[in-house]
Formats: sequence, structure tokens, C-alpha cells
Amino acid sequence: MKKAVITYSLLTMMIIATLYFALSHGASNISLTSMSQTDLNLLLNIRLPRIVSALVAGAALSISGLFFQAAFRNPIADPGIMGVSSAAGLFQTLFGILFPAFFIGKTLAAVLGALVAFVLLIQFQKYFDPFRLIIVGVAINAVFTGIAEVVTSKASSSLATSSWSSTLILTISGIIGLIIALVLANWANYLKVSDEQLSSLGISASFIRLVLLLLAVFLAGVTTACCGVLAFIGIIVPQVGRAILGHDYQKLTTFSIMAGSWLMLFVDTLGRTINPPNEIAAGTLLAIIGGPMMIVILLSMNRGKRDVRS
Amino acid sequence: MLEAKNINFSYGKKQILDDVSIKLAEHQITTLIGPNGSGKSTLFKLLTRSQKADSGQVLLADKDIWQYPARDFAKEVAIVHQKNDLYDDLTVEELIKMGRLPYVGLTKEIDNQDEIIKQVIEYLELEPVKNKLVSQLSGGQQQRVWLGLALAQQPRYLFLDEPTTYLDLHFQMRFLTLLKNLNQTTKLTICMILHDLNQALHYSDQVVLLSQGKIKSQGLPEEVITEANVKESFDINCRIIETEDGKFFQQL
Repeated sequence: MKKAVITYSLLTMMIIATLYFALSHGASNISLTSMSQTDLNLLLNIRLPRIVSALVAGAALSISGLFFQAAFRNPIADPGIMGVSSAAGLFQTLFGILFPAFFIGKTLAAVLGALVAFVLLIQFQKYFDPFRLIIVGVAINAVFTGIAEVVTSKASSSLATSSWSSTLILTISGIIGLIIALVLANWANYLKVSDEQLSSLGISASFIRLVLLLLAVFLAGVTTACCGVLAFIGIIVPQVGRAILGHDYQKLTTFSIMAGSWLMLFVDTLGRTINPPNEIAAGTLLAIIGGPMMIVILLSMNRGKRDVRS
Repeated sequence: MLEAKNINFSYGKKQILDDVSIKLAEHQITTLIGPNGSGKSTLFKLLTRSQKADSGQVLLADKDIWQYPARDFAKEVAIVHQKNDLYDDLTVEELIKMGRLPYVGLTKEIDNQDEIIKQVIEYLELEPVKNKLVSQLSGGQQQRVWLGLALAQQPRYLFLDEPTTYLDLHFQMRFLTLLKNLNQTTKLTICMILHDLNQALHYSDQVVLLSQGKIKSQGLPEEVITEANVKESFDINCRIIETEDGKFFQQL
């Protein structure tokens, strides 16, 4: 418990420090104590929505990954690499082309797309063990990404295109989802025993799994609608959480919300301040950290340290 | 009272159980024995609501077990499965706590101060390891933890599917002695599947011998485990030896 409190306090300080830096730095640097009208305008209408989006998106995607891992009983499951986010991206792009003025529709379309990929994925669940299912997810991901590239040459939304309207939709739906995640976190702990065992305790494992996955799909969908496809953060954050705080999903949920917010804000801020006015997309930086991390997780499982099947 | 009435079960064309009726002796230990394919595992599944009979009924207190809400049934009947998979780390106490799920359900949290959990941990002498990860324990200790999970359900009926399979001889004996004591002190009705006929002879009050989907014989252990029955059902020649410590089965 003590470890958890220290970790949460540290994360709070990191978020505040990064927040301060993110507000004051960018293509033009702003002093937060003496601002001109243009500075204030830039801060309120360009930087602030982007920062809020990054905070909510980071938390939402980390929780989404965490719940995918609990439900599929696999530490490398993630909506970003298993096609859920790319399907959400494709659907919202298509919707944007057809009805450009109807923004909340784009969010709904993204959630619908995420659901379509999810339904596809669970159709295959019967035939594959959890590891092969990930590969099926990667294949689904390739298909949706490919179609999206045929439809349009550039991603329709990213953190850089955050506006208050997209940020507000993300913030409201994201925070609702995250509150539900905090309430349901303990269910993820129950999935550590077999479906058969849960059934002899009078509990339906399928029901728990479906609820957790639907919440994860919803969070991934609304985030993608606002910020585009961002993979790997859902693997990185929970894995670091496990290394620091252990296996309890209640602690991991709180950790993932805080650390996910911080990491997304950090990589987005880094990406836009390292060489202004050029930007490195948050997704690119996440992939650079996330790829090697995934290999490390697989290696450690191979050594039997965390054999999910034992 | 838990009883099966005229149950039939088949896989495709293969009849697994053929008009089987059985009443579990209350407050006693009943052991199911029989060769592979005799139907004992299927009978076990039907009695524990893991599978539905094609025809016939399983009754708990004169009510069909499928009419109970799942959680109510779990308050009456607990199962120690043969294969106990864990997909992620969990401490001993966390796992045993899950035995309270039938009482709290998914909408409430399990109370950390629950008296039953404390009693179960104490009874099974798991106090020193309660904060350890289940995966770090020996096979014998792990088996006691899974028993603890079942006992935390406060059941009236405890079912165990080949509980000694993954244990060495020492832990097999200790575990079965523990069950015997548990049955004597708490009057818990126990039903288990065993392969070892000597263990069945020594640790059961009642033995049910299944063969080709039918109950071949049931009653006191020494009445059921006889040279003739063993020859007929398992197709092996054996001798039942009488000693001061009771009867023993010896394969010839």
C-alpha cells in the first residue's frame, strides 16, 4: 500500500511538472506569468485542448489495454495492435468524408468501427489460444489500416488537430469510461482463475469478460475519434505498473490512469518541442518505446517468469 | 440431500451414463471409483451442475439443481477441480477470498475482515503463507489453498475431482487425512473421485463403483472393493489382504 501511495504521489508531481512545461513551451514559448492577448489565445485554443486530449487519451488507452490483457489473459493484448483502433479510425474517416459537419457522429462512427473489429476478433476467439489470437488481431489491424490508406492519404485526426469540440467529447466520454473502469477494476482480478472455477463460484466469466472488453472498446473508439490511432501505450503503461505495483488490478487501474495520462502528455510535448516547428507524432514515439518493450515482455514470459498459462 | 434420479447422458451415439440413480450419504465421504470411460467423471459433472443430463434429474433438497440461481447453488456445493489454472499472480489470501463471491456477487466487494476467510486460513494452517503468491507454493500447499477457496464458500457438499493426482505420496496422505478430519469435525458431506483403490478403502465411508455407464456396486468400501468386482470392472487380478490396520488391495 505504501509503495502505491509513493508511486501515485510521484506520478502526480510528474503530471504537474510536464503540464507546466507543456503549457509554456512549443513553437513559440510563453511566459505563464506575463501573457499577451495572442499568447492567451494560443494557450487556450491551441495548446490547452491538445494537452487535455493527451491526458484523457493516455489514460483511456492505458485502461483499454489493461482490460484487454485481463480479458484475453495475455499481457500483450492491446486494442491498438489488434485492429480495434484502426477500425475505429477507418470508420470515423469514412464518416468524416460523408458527413463532414457532424462531429459527434464521427465519435459514434469510431465506436461502431471499434465494435466491428471487436466482434470480428471474438469470432476467432473460439479457434485460437490467446497468443495466436493476438496475431489474428494484427492481421485484422493490417486490413483496416490498409483500407484506410486507400481511402485517404493522411490520418484525419491526431493530437495535433485537437480542437475544443473534439476535446470536449473525448473528455466527457473518457472520464465516464474511466470512472466505470475504477468501479469495475476488481472484476479483472476475478479473471485470474479459470472460467470453470468462476462458474463453480456462481459467477459468469463470459459476462465479466464482455463488460470489460466493451468498456475497453468504447475507450479505444472515443480516443481514436479525437486523436487518431495510438498503439502500444496500452501495453507499455500496464506493464510498467506490474513491475512496480504487482498484480492487483485495482492498483493497476489507478496507476494506468495516472501514468497513461502522464506518458501521453510527455511524448506529445516532447514530439512538438524537440525541434519546433516540426513535430514527431506521439504515435511514432510510442511505437519506438513500445516495440522493444513488447519483445522484452515476450522474452520474460519465455523464461517462465510470467508464464500466463502456468 | 443431493441425489441423482435415473440420469442418462451420451456423447453422440456413445451412451456414457445409463439410467443412473444415486443418493449421496449425508455427512459422509463417498468415493467414486471405476475404470476410464466408466462414466464417473460425467456423473461428477452432472452432480456438480457442470453439465446437463440428457434425461433424469439431479435434486438438491428435492429441487432440481438447475432451478437454483448459480450463486445459491455455489453456497451449497463447492468443487475442487482436478486442474487448477491461474492466469496471473494472486496471493493465497486473495484466492481464498474469492470463495466469498457466491455471497457478495459482482456488485459488492468482498470484506477484507471476513471471519470465514480467517477461519479457513487458520484451519488449513496457511497463516504463514497467506501473503505469498500461490504460484510460489509447493504442490501440497497449493492443493490446500484450492480447498480453502472451496471451504470459504461454506458449502454443505464438497466435491473433489481426483484431488491427489498432482501430489507426491506424502502430500496425498496428508491431504486425504485433512479431508477425513474436516468431514468428522464439520459434518461436511464429501464426494470425490479417486484412482487409488487403497486410498478409497481407507478414506471413504461409502464407495460407488461405476462400470460401463452403470453403478456396478455401492456400499461400504470393503463391500465394494472386492477381488471379484475389481476383476470384473478393471480386468486385473488382485488380492484383498486383511491386516490389523484394515484391508488392503494388492495387485497380482
